[in-house]
Amino acid sequence: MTKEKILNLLKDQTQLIILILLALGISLTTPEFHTVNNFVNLLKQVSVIATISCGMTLVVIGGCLDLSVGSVFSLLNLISITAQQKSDILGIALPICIAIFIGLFNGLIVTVFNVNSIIVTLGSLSVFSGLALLYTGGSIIFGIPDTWFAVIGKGKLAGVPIHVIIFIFIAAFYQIILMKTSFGRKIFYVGTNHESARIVGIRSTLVRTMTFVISSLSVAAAAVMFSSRMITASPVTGVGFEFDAITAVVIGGTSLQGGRGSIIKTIIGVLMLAVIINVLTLYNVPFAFQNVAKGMLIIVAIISDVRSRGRFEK
Amino acid sequence: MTSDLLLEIKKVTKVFPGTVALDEINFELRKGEVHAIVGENGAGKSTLMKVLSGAYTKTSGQIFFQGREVEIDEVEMSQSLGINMIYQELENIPKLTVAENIFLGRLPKGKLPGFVNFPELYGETKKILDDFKIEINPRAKLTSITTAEQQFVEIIKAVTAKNAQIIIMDEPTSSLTKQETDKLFSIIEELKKKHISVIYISHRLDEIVDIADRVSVFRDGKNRGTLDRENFDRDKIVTLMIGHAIEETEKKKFQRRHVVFEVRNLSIRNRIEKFEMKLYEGEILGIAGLMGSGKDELVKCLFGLWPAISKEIYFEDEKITIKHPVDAVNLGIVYLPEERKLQSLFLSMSVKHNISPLWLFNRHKRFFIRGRVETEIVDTYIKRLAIKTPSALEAIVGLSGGNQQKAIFSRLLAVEPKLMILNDPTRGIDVGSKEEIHRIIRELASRGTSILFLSSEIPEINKLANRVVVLSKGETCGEFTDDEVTTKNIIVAATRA
Amino acid sequence: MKSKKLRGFIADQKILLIILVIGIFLSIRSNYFLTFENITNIFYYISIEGIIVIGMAFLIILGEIDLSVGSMMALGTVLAIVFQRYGVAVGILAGICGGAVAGFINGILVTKLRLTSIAVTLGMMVLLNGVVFAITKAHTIPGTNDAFPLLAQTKVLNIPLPIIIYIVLLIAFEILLQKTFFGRNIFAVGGNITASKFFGIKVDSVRIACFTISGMLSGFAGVILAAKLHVASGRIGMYTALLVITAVLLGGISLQGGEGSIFKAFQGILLIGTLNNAMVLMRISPFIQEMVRGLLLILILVIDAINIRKKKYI
Repeated sequence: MTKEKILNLLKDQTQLIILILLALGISLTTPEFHTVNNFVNLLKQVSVIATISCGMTLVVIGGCLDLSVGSVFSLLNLISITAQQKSDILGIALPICIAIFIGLFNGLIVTVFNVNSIIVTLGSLSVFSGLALLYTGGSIIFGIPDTWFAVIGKGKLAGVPIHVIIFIFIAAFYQIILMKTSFGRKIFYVGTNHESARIVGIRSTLVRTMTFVISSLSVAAAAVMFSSRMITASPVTGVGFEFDAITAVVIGGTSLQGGRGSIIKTIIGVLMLAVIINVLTLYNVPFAFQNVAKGMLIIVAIISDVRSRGRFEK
Repeated sequence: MTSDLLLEIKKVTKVFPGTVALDEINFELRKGEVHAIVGENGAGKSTLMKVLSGAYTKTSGQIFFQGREVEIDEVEMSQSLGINMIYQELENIPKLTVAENIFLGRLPKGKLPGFVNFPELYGETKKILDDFKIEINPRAKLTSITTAEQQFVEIIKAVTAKNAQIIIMDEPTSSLTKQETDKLFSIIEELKKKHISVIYISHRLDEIVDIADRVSVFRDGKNRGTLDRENFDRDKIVTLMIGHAIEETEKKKFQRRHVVFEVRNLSIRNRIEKFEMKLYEGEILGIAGLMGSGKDELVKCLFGLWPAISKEIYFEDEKITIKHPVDAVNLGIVYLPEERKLQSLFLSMSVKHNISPLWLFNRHKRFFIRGRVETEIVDTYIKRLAIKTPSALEAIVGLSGGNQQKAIFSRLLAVEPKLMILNDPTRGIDVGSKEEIHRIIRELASRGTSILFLSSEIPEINKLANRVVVLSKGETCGEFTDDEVTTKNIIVAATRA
Repeated sequence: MKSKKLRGFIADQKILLIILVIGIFLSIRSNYFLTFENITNIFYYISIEGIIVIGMAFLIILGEIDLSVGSMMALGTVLAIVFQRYGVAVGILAGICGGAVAGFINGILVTKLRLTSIAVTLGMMVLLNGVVFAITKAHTIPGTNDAFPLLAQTKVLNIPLPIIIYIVLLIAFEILLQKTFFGRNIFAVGGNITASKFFGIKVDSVRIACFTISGMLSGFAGVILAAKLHVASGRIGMYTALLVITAVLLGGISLQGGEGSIFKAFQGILLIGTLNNAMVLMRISPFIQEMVRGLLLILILVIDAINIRKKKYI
């Protein structure tokens, strides 16, 4: 292992290093940070956003963005609880089915008509948010407690919360799809240059639509996890999730321009975000400032992405 | 006589790594003359124009403007001398009016500070248009007038906005009708009256005979001869273009067995009119044509990249439909685009990832990628085509143009295609790689792959093709088979616009 | 020749025609529609977002976009509420300056760092959202200066002041766009940035100026909103970006840039205002209204995209 090789390896793992340094630095200065309790809390809160971010990663690598995930989350949360009132299985199955349609809706409009995904999903954000509000008129609905449905959200397996296990499975599944399958590889090509991708016979319309479907499915999974834990739903539970997901993806090192990234990078991004927010909470920084921090993080991450990208596009 | 010599180019040389584009070339331009330049692609015409317009700097030699020696090292310098190039891709603002385009950046000031004087703007524009006897409404949006009229506006802009003394036109009539061409010529006459010189680059010998005072023929970076109007002779010009005794390589008669690919009744809106073509197994068919011939859109349409009004394609005797490139690829038809950086390469990816996509999705066709097999295939082709790269994982941008193109070729070869459509395969490549690619093409053909290729370099077509189809303005205007394929035949057909 | 001109003229006014049709439909359905009060209500409603539409029109014609306008408006509101204790004028100035600064930063990031306007303004939106939340601390802050609401309540000839201000701004900025060098430069840059640079137009200055104008106008809209509501809260401006972009597109201004007018943009926001009024009069649930807004944006995006595609293969 020559010095050069080590340096190169380190450069690729900047985000991981930042995370480790952050965690070290904070645990030295803040005693409450490295209690087991705190860590467990951290992971618990993270699994929902982390799952959504995994789906978002695929969309971003394909060169698009999905801003509707927040309101879709609220909607699927409502659907899950409403269905759970009838049957536990329906509470899991129905959100997943509806998610497929939502993904198709977003994906087809963006790809078939070649419209900017940010603005389209801004529109669909309103559509689904309005739908969610319409459904309950703004109030909270309750599911049926003490059924096996709650196991997903509250149960533990060998001390690890089940929803964390589910998240790990989903993340691993997505990573494998991304790195080891033809479909996953196609996403990279489409995100890099969709004209060239077309010429090598990739149906970029299909590929990008599928990323939207996958994104919606991961939102469904997150919604089920959440519903199972809270056994309640309201039309505004997902507000702001889209920005958390995008922030996590971007600071994790996946490029907003598409064509590069991985699930592992996103997980690191999620952890970084969680650590930063955890620290801010421990220091009693008002929730409000967290958005300021998020906004700045997005801008910083974008700047460094463009800088490093410049190397390639000479 | 020398007092009305506006521009003198003496022994100018321009060297690029690997090629000498201009070889101690001489050229002169008188005031108020229309001086045409003819020559094959690669003869040095565009390089010299780029040197004149400041896009390139000459390696050695002298340029004299109005008797003074000048160094043109940047575009602003060239502009300030009054040298103006009319670009084929018009540099204008399509959604603004004619007047605002002509006066771009120098709109007349109104009474109040910061305000534009619109009456003066339209009035001045009308005056200028009248001066050139052009009937266009100054208030019309640029998109609402014809392409020809847009070109005229460009010329006027050059003359008025930049005080042009020399106007360089590169293939200006490629998309013009006969009437529009006549109008252009009358504008050129007006330019002459104003003592503005025109360098007119074109392949269309008929037009040059009409409009030019003198013609210079370039070949291999040198000026092979300048003819005065009285001495214009098409044969003489063509001979100068080709050079003496080009050993026309003995064209063996090619054994045509069965038709692999047939096109009938192909029409593309505004581009191609009822095109027909047959391609035999193992045959190399070249398509030649000047700009505006439609050959580019033709090929794209065959591959599913451009819509057609009507299209009948037969592949191996079966009627097929190609609506999307994936349809073509599934049949064994592959395409090499002309713009390497924009349409072929995945710039931020490695050499390996640039070579493997076609193979991965059309041959390997598995859900899970077998990484080892992919690496093997990629390495095989890197070796076979002698691609110079430290490793397969190297970023593709680090390779030279020639090696990049070889990587793209590997991509196509990896799926063992039956038909290859190549759009200008050796564009922007060093001579060595060019030779290698030619060798690869010949080898493929000898093994049964049919090749349809486009090139703007007629010598290249001559060298490789068994058969040549010449297109002009959307229609076939010549077809040559086996030993009829000679540079002379192709040039004559192509220049007979 | 004349009939072509006439047809072209009518095509340009098609939004007005649609508004007319809706108007006729509504006046039949509801007695209330054609009253002076109702018409004034429509204009009152659009007079706030309409100001932001002016700035957005400038940017879209330039070929850029600004997603942070809602947050900039919220910032303006909050600053106006907070600073009005020092005087009405100070409050107004504070709101405008806040917006101007934010817009200026957007402009700098886009031009000097060469980032895309979508990415930058997305980050700015999140950031400003956080800033607003931080100042309001998730409560609503009441205004302290009783003279301030007069800005919204004063009537001239029985017409509320904000409407008059809006009309003045409309006329002023339309003149700026159509008749001055600055305005013509916006069209030039939006039409062909390379050609503009070539002919000596200071492209960067134009872009920074337009982003700043967008910020100023958004901030000013926030000031008027502060006068109208007399409170500031963190929930302001959530859907503003969506509405404003929809308005500009509805008016017939293409996202591609290079053409348009303030009058066209006005038609767009007037249509939205009329539609809104229609939905209110027909007692359609506000949640459905939200869905309609989202669908409208998606619809207009698709239409714009189809128009752009038609021109590709000519």
